[in-house]
Amino acid sequence: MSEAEVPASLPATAVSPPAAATGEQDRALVDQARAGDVGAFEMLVRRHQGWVFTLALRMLGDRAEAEDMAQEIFLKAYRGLKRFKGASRFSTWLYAIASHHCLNQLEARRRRPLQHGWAGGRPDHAENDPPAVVDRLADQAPRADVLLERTDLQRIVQTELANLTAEHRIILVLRDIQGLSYEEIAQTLGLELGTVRSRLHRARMEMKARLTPHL
Amino acid sequence: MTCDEARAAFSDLYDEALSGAPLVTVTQHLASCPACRAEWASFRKAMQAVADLGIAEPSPGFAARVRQQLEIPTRSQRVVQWLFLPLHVKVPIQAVAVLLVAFAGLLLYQRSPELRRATEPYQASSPPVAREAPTPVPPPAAEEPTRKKESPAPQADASKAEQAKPEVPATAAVAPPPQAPSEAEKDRGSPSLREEAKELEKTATAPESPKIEESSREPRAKSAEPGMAARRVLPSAPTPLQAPAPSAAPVQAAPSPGAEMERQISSARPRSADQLYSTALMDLGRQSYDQAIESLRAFIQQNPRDTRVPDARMRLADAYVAQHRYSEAILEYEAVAREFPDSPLVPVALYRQAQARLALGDQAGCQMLRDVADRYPQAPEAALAREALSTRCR
Repeated sequence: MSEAEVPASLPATAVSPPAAATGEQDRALVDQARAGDVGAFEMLVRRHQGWVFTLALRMLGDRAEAEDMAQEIFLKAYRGLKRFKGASRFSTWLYAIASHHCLNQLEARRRRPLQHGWAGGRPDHAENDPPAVVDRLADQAPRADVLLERTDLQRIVQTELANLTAEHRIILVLRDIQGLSYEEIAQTLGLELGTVRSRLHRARMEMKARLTPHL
Repeated sequence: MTCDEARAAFSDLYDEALSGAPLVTVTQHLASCPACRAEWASFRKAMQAVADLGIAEPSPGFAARVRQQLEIPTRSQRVVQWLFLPLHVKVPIQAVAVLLVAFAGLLLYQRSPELRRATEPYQASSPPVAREAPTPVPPPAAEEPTRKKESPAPQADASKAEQAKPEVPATAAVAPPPQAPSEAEKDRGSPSLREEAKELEKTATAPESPKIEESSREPRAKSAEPGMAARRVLPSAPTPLQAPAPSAAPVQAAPSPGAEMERQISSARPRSADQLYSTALMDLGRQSYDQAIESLRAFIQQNPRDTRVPDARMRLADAYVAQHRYSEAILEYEAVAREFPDSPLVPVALYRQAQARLALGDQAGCQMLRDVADRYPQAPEAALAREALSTRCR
């Protein structure tokens, strides 16, 4: 299949992106926030907090940490408003900030294993595990007891999601939970469309392999 | 299509990204392959389970908390606020504090001699001269000529030894010099002292080029009136003919501790021609003849082609005279007249040499006075020579 055949449309299972509802309203709020209107930015936060928080939650697996990270993302966006030129939609710009912030934080935590430790005491990630296993960001394993998932299956999904590499996890979240199109994912993560497609395929197949025993 | 190829298309199939022949091929394979059909069902369930996680919402009040964070000033903003706000209170306080510190520094500097001394060597070497200018200055040799060779180092040692023992005033045997300064002459001499002080200051503050020195000296020597020249030459100088009274003999004042330290500091630095000459002038000004002699000799030795050499020799000879070292003075006066026969200083050097000889009891001085009167009738020294002849060479 050529890249031209990659659809921008969303599968029926995907959640509609909040970016679809943004546009002119976002732009007006951005202008007001740039002029120093903190209230306008608060409105922007309300409009996009679900999306940003969901990304953080699915990447970290912990609500409290996800809220902190979402807050950091919005603060970062507010301080960077002057650099937002309006070439793309505000939502796309914000999602790019959120995605990179999540990836950077996870990478930073991965490099500080002694400070964060193995959250879940997972038996298959001992100290002497090979780097390939460590690269799976096992230290980001969800603390299932604090997850307010509605079903056991959702807890399992979240747990298995955390066992993916950060690269696979974020592309799966952006596509299958946040519902971004391939183009939006490419723009958000700064990847080629073909890379998005192939990486998404590998992430899905791995997730399917992990979840099949529980389904 | 193989099973692997069909399963590789699951992701695209799930996203409804397949169309045409690929879609038909995959669909046909799934219809005919129960294993792939089961895999596809499993794939869809897994993806549906992921999608079911859905969008989560943060706890209530999240946006308000973000806003609170936004309104908290950053660290740099807090530093600026702490330093300057409110402006109308803190800025005046800071300005006053800066002024107080500056004032305290100034006071400390003014009341601390060590600080002042430490900074003085780095300034132009004028202040000491300016301060010492009012003291009597040895004969200004700037306008006078001479001849004779510079005394070698051993001679200097001998002269020091000579200086160490109490001087037998050779001049005591000689009749009081005709030029011995009367009170009126002293009065007349004070302007010349000021003039000399100015000259010293000029020399010390702005190390002039030889040309400047030459140009500032010659017009004066040529155009000055005889009387003026006499006033400039005679009154302030402890010439051999002034025959200082025994009580006044130890003219050379012991250098003050401050002056001594100043000299040590300045001697520690590399001494250029200008520095040597300026130092010598300052020493002459404070009647530190030993140091002046040392500096002048060093200047002459190190800068034999300098246009100030005749002047330096005259000043050197005058310093010897001030110490009653007439023999050495005569040699320097002779050097001026011999080495710089065209210099306007020659008649002065000859006249002073004659006086020095008379101070030693050498009657050849009388013949020199006649020569001065005969050979330089227009020079101010001619009149002085005739007067001396009438009083001392009858």
